[in-house]
Amino acid sequence: MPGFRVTERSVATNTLANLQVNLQKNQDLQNQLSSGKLITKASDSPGGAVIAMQTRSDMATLNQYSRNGDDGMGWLNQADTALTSASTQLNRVRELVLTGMSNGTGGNSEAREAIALEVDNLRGSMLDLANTTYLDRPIFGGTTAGSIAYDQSGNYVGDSGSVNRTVGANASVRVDTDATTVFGSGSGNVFNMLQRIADDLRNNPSALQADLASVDTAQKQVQTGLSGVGSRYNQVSQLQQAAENRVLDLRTQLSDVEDIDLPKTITELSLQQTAYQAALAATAKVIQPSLVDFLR
Amino acid sequence: MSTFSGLNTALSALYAQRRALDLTGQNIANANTEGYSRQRVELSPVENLSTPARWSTSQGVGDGVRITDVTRLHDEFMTNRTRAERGLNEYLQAQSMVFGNVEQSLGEPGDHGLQAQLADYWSAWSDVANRPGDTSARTQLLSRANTVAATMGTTRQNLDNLFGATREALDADVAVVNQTSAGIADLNDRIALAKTANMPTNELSDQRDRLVLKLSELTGATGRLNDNGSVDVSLGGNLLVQGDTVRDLKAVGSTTVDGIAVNPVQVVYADNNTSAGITTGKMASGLEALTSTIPNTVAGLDSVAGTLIQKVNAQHAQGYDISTTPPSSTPNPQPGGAFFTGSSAKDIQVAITDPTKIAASSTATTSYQGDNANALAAIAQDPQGPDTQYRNFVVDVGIQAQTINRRAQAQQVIADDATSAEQAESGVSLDEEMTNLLQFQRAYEAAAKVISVVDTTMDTLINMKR
Repeated sequence: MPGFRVTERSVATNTLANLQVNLQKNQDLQNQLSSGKLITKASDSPGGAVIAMQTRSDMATLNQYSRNGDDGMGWLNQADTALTSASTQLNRVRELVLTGMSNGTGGNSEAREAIALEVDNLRGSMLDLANTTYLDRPIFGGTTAGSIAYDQSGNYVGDSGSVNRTVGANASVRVDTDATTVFGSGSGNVFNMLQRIADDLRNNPSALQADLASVDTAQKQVQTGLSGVGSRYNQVSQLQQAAENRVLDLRTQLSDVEDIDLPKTITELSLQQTAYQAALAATAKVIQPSLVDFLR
Repeated sequence: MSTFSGLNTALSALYAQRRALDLTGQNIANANTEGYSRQRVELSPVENLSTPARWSTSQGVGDGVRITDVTRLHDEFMTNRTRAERGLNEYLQAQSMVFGNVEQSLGEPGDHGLQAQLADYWSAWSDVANRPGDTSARTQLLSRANTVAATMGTTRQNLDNLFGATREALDADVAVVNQTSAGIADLNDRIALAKTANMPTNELSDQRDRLVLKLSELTGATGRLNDNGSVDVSLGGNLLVQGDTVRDLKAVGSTTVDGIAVNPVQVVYADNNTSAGITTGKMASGLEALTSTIPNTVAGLDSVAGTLIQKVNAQHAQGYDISTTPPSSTPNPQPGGAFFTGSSAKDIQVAITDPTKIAASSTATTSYQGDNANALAAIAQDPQGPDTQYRNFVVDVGIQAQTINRRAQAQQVIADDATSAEQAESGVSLDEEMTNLLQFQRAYEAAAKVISVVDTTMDTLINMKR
């Protein structure tokens, strides 16, 4: 300010203002360091804040997709185990039917009775498999409110609803399995068939030939169901993986926008502190001396 | 011309230099007094008789020195500039603080703000969709919905409180303005009287200017110096203080944010109820906070809450719950009722207390289906949904706050500069005063020496006779 008079008060006013600015910067940096965040309120950087908020919201959604995926994989795992067992048991039924056939019409009825008993047992365990639950929900029962999909006489008591899990934007995957496609529908279902086989073994061995064909059909249906479950499991697991990868990306992005660069901030802070100390030292030197000091 | 006139000349010098020394002392004493303007003794020589007349005798030497005036060294232009800059600075600093408060009440972006709570709420809907029959998932949804509603209510309440506090501050500021203008009028009166009586008015003027500055900082009022030494203060084109007459201000309008639509907050002249037209200064910021900043924020928050209520209720109504009708214990699905009640952040409440009343399914026949809950969870991604609206709202406030903060920082520097320049012009420089002190001291010593020399000379003259 050339041409201006300079007085103690004007020096003091300027010095105080400058020290204030210095201290303010110090405080900002301290805040950033102690909170670890560049943006603590929207006005720090409105552009950054909108990205931070959007990213947080996206992360919440993706985390939910991932949790939905976990849940869906639980359902599908359960279905996979149940259907694999069902397939094994149908194989056993096939063996038993073949044994029954080889015993023939005129064969030992007691032997066939024993086989029939085993088929009855297998039917019971097939029913158990069909009533497999995941977290108390029958996985073959659609969206039924009840706790079973088939009652003891082999009638379907579930409903036709489907259980879907959203594991990605616009990606909803069915995680239950339609019971009628794997176990057959109506009176032709696998439990009625097993009942009929047991009856045939006891009373009508000649029909066993036809029964063998229906066992094969049932086996094929279970296998188809199994492969469907497998492919859906794959789909869910891939989508879940994608969601988790995206969360990692977003976390990095959020950190880039919001978090401080530690070495940079520390360096800035120590520079700022040096500047502040220099300003203080200069102030002490400038304000002290006056003509008074040099007069007797 | 008498023989002894030399003594009188020296005596006048002794008087003048002592007066100057006194004034230097006054300046030094007030070196740190806020608003003090340095003063200077105006000396002028006493001229010898210069008008030619028949009997006049003149040696052509003057008759010493006299004090013609004590000048107050201050620059009216700089004073006015300081008033204007400080007024604007007060306005911006206060606005910056208002936005600081508003942002604080929102608490975004962060892991615990409304945004995070909304995310939790939508995720609870997904959990219900995953396990529609699970009461714990449904209960959790209700508790998270309550958290969202409570946070909205609290934020709204904080803004209401901020409004109330700002409104009270406005009343207090108006009281200070009235008191200050009365003070100015009183000082104007005393200055005018003193001036007529030819008395010094410097200290009174300093005091008066300090009050005018205070008024400028509060209201952005400007001052104009009159010939009689008084200052007229005008505000929004009207005279607030004219000489020794004052017009009082008063603040009128609602004390709650909800009442401002019918009863807007204003500062008016008490005598005729016309607007005072305050556009800068601390009170302008208070007025702006009360008429737009806080009400706009409240409206933004209310609109987010409104969208949340409307979207959720509309989707919820399309679903069916799993409620039972006693004594039967099997579900008797009913269409979903209102999930939230209310229409704004002020009155938003969760309407449902019974977890079975949550309509998670889209059909009555398969009530354990979670598709309606999924549709509700998807509102989180709706571009017209409450989340997006809230984000835009927060960023909007952020941008305004950033603009004000930047202006406030710049203005602080300008105001400091103006103050410092005024201080430089009218403040006391100790170095200068010390120099003056030496000068006057030496002059005093020299004048004393003159007396002693004249004395010796006269002594010589008188002793000649012996």
